[in-house]
Amino acid sequence: MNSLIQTSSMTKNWLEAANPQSQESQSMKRLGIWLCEQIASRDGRCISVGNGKVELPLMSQFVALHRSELLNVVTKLTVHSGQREPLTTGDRNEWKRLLGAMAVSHAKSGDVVVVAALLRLAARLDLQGKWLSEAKRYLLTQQHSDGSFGMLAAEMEFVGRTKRVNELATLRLTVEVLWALAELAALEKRSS
Amino acid sequence: MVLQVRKSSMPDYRFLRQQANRSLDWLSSRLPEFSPLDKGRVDSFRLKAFAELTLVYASLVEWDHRGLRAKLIRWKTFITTLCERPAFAQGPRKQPLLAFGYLMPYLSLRGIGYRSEYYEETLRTLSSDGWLKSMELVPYRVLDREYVLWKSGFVKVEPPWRRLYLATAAGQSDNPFRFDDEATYSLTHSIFYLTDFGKRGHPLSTSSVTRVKSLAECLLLHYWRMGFWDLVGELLITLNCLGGTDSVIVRGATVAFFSAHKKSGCVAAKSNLDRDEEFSRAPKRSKRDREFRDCYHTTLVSLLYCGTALNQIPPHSP
Repeated sequence: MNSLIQTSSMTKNWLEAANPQSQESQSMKRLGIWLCEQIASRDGRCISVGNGKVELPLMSQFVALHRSELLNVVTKLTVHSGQREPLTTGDRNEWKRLLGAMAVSHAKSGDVVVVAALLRLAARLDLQGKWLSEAKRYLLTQQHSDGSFGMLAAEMEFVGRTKRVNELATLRLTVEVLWALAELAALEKRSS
Repeated sequence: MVLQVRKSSMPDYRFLRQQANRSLDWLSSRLPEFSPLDKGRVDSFRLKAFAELTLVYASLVEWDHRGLRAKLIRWKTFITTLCERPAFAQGPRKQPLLAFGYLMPYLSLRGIGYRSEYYEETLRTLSSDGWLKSMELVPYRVLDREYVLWKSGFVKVEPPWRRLYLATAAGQSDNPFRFDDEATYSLTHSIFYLTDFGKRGHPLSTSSVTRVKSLAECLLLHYWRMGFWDLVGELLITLNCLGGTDSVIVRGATVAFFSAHKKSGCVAAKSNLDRDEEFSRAPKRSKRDREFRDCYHTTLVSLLYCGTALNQIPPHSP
């Protein structure tokens, strides 16, 4: 079985067994299951909720964005399906290296959310490369044996672990990763 | 100075020369602080700093860039005077375990033609007793030692570069995940020595060069993002040593690297120096000392970067 389908199948089992209490967590659970189904369907379509056209920022500015700005930009770029100017071959190569190197860099800092976001954007731009593959491999190693994602113990210890906080944080992170995996699965389908 | 790195190109000759001069001026103003001799003792931190200063000096003399020569005369006087002081010159025989560290400055000078009968005698004595290779070293430090001994002319036979390189971090892997700060220094230094800072042919195949350049570029973005300018500078030199690379990452990191320089011409190893509360509260003298400790190495790296970049540009280019 394809590694992304296998991974998402485990996550789907975990999500189905989860019994979150808050409304937000329940929404996250439903979204997560839906993303797992998208991965399994492998129909090659991107996941989008808007038709707006968002242009890519300048590459030189992209690296310097603060974490929250970076996540904001990537979200805008990946939720909209509007057609943008096609990238030239040279730009595709530069974006592939830039996003790959950034994903590796954030992975080295242990920032799974940013790695997932960057991989999602790269997949939406139909970019594949060595560093992006290394970052994807890193992302897959963040899965627990129960199917959930994220090594959040240190953060939970810091903020004062409560069941509700832990549950929501794990669900949110798992959904972030699943969203990236869904875009990667769609890219695999388009490339095959 | 306003940074003039255009989107479409790397820094030009004029910019690099101006930048090199600013770094040279700052380093020249701090020359006494490179002296390892302090009240009858030798400071190991400054022993390393002095050896690094001498290595950069020897490289700049060899490269002979127009506009930098005149300022190096002060360096020559400082370095040779210190090397000739008996308090320093006796060091290798007095502490043979540290012999190589003491001899590094002389070996660098030897490579550009300087000779001292006292040091020659020391080299012969310590070499025949095995003291020059007595320490157990990590692979890239072995490459470092073999390079310095060969470059100085003391060892005539060229080292087995390829075998030495394959034992280093870069020879073992091209996966950026496996490179922490120490492994990245191993990569940069291995390439410096293997290529003689870009001035000699090297034993790497074309595909190996492509792999190493790709790895260096990926790590460059990481350290640029971290504001770790010491490694940004060393990785930029590494890419120059391998023939240069022009990409968004390299251009962006180059602009960021020079933007991190202070008006005085120095640049701190990491970008958080000025925000460090302990630093801002420190008394003036220790503040100055701290600035030297935090900036001397990266400023030498910056100067070396300019030198390797100037080596690739014809002096009359616009």
